[in-house]
Amino acid sequence: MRLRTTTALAGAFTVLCGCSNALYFYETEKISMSLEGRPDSSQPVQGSLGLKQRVAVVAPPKDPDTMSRARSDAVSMISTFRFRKDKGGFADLGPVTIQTALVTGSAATGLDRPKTQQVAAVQVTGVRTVGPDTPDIHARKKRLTDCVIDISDNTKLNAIAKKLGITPNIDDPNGTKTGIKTRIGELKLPELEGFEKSDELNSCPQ
Amino acid sequence: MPNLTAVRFSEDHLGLDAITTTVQQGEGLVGPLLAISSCESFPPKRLTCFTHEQANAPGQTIELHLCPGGAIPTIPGKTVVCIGNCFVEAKLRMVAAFR
Repeated sequence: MRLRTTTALAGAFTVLCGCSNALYFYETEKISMSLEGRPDSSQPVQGSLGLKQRVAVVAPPKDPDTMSRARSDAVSMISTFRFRKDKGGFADLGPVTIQTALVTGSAATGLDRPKTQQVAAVQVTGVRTVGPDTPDIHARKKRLTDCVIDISDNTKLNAIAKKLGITPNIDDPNGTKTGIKTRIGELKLPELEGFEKSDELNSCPQ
Repeated sequence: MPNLTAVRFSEDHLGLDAITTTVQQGEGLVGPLLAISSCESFPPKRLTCFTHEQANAPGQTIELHLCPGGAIPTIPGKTVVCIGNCFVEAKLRMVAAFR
């Protein structure tokens, strides 16, 4: 017995015809599964699962007048792919999960930073937002902001600002402190945990 | 001497209780609330912007209340800090802050 199934899972082809600076994006995923069994019950059922993915992007020139090559935005791209097959079912054919993502622009260039996914998410949306924190997280943030207020060493303050990705105020360290406190309030838990371990905050009371 | 200010943005889906907690926590971190305003400068996001003043910690806890029909409610023992456009549960509402 031989069973072969080929399924085209997804396909998307976006074409903006007639536009000289259109962005072209193409993605397909194909799954192929084969099962092979023999009348001889001593022989195991054999199977294989294959997957093919194609992702193509054609980015337009940034300046349609000069047709110069784009240097930012859509040019930076990372495509990710994750395949997972869970156990279970007949012949151990559990559910198959395929996760793909295409990251472009500053989100893609920011992926080599320590806070990868969080930074990327922020860069995609372009703005950090706040919501209610649990009392524990709020207390941890409060401890940090209280600590920052007491820092008089400008070098240390600027290092903290750099670590948080904000611009130090060259006129007044209080301006830097305001930016730091604001950013601390915006931190998500993984970022907060990383920031708490900063050398510059060693002297903060626990 | 004038004080520095800080802004915090919240998403539009939050309810009034969650927003109130957010503002109260913001006061603890960056200072008393100064102003509330809606912000749609980062489409497609619809945000509410809370401006805080870097000043001494406020004595009383801040409360937010809706202003149905634009009428500012009277809260016994409280005074209005500011009013402004605020996204509450995805709807743009008039909200008053009291202390």
